[in-house]
Amino acid sequence: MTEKTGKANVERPVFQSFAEAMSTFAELTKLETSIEIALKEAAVPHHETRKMLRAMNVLDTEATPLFQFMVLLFEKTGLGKLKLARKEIFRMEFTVEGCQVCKLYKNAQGKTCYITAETISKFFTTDLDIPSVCKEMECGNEGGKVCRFLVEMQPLAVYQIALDSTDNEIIEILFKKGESALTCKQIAEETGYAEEEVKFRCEILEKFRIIDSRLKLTEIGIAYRKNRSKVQREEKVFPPPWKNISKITENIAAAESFAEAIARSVEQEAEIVIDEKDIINLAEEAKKSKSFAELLFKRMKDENKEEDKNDRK
Amino acid sequence: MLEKKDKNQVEAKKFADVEYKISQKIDHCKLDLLWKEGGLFLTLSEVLISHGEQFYVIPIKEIEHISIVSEKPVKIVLEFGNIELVFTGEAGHKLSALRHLLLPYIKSAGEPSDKLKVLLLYWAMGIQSIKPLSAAMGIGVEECDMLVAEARDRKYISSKGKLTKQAMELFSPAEREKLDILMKKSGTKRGAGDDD
Repeated sequence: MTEKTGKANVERPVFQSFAEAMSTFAELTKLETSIEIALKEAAVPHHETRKMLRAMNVLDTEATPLFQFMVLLFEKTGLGKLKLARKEIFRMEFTVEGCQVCKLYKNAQGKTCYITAETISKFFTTDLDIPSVCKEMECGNEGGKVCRFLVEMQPLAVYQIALDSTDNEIIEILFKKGESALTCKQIAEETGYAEEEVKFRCEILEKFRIIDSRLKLTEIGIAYRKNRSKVQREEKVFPPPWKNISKITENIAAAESFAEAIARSVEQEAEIVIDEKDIINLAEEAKKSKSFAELLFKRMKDENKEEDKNDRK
Repeated sequence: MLEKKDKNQVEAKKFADVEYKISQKIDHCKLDLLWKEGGLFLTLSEVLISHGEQFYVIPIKEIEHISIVSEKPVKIVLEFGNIELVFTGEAGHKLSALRHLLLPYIKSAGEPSDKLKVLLLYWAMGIQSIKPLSAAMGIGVEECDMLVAEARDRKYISSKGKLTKQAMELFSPAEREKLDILMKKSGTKRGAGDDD
């Protein structure tokens, strides 16, 4: 790396030493392996995910079994203890205090906890069946008090899991009634559900912006109703993974020793010494070469020269 | 800067045996330059790959993107300038860990924001008025307005209000499939001449 410091260019490597790079690499390999094992066994049935998605606030969300499982799972993999800072219908914000991942990157000056962000994103996408993107918004290595992660969930997937067949029945009734306003009592009479149940469900639908306060479908509600049947997803029913938490924990521990062996194999590799004449700087070549043909020609010419040399020998 | 053992030498540590491919992007075409087997090495500032006695070096600071394109087997793409290096190997965990080792040190710039992708997704669903869009995304009306303007500037939304091919390229093949279904359903179908 080249840094301009006023008077002269000071060259500073990315890693201070191989030992430092290897120790970070060993920890990351351990994390990678634990995460892979943990996520493989953490698929959550839709009815449990629904409870978390429908929770109205941080406290309600934290009380769901899924959230508690997620906290435990992340702690076991070594990524730290997740706390929920914010909950919106398509977004959740998590924080990690005293983040262990931050400590692995001593020289980095920007955000560093990509592995945590990617694991959260994978957990939501693969295990909760909600395609999601997670980004680190604040990082301890950037001067933040905590590491902060924002998950943005795909709206359609959230609707498909968060709303159940009863909600969809209510949406259908409201759609058929069109412009004429309905009351919860009327919906209850039409569906056969108790009025209290309908009221509660209408509150949820309003929270998800499917209906407005006058129980009319919003633009979002109409779009959801229109697209729902086209990309219908099957309700997955199976036992939740927290029934097997002790097995998952055991597997993570076993995976860690495997990872240690992998990391050791790299650590044990001797450092090699390469002559500069044997090195092609691809980044420099890419800047100099205007086209693929030029780069290819150059490479072929070099190879031919080398072959000629060998022949002469 | 390479770590020099003496004046003309470089010290490196081997990480894994890999198969790799080097490609160059010219306009929208990608041309494969090499497809070889070799070793993946690391110096204190560079990634090296070898082919026999020959080594190719990529300074870590020159890397613009490093992403996983396949999980099984792990296949990693490293992009710099108009060059793309794809490598794969049996030691999947090692390669994934190496990617995470490098990620905080690379310059990643010019990517469209995730918010923009979410906005395009709603757009495909047929939610195109600023107020419902901003409400659904949980952002202010002004920010939402700016995002729509950005999407138009980047030519993700055509002058006819349709999602363009450039917009579709932001999504993975699986996401694209769903988007296509949504667009057909909501009447925001893509077609010839929508890329304007």
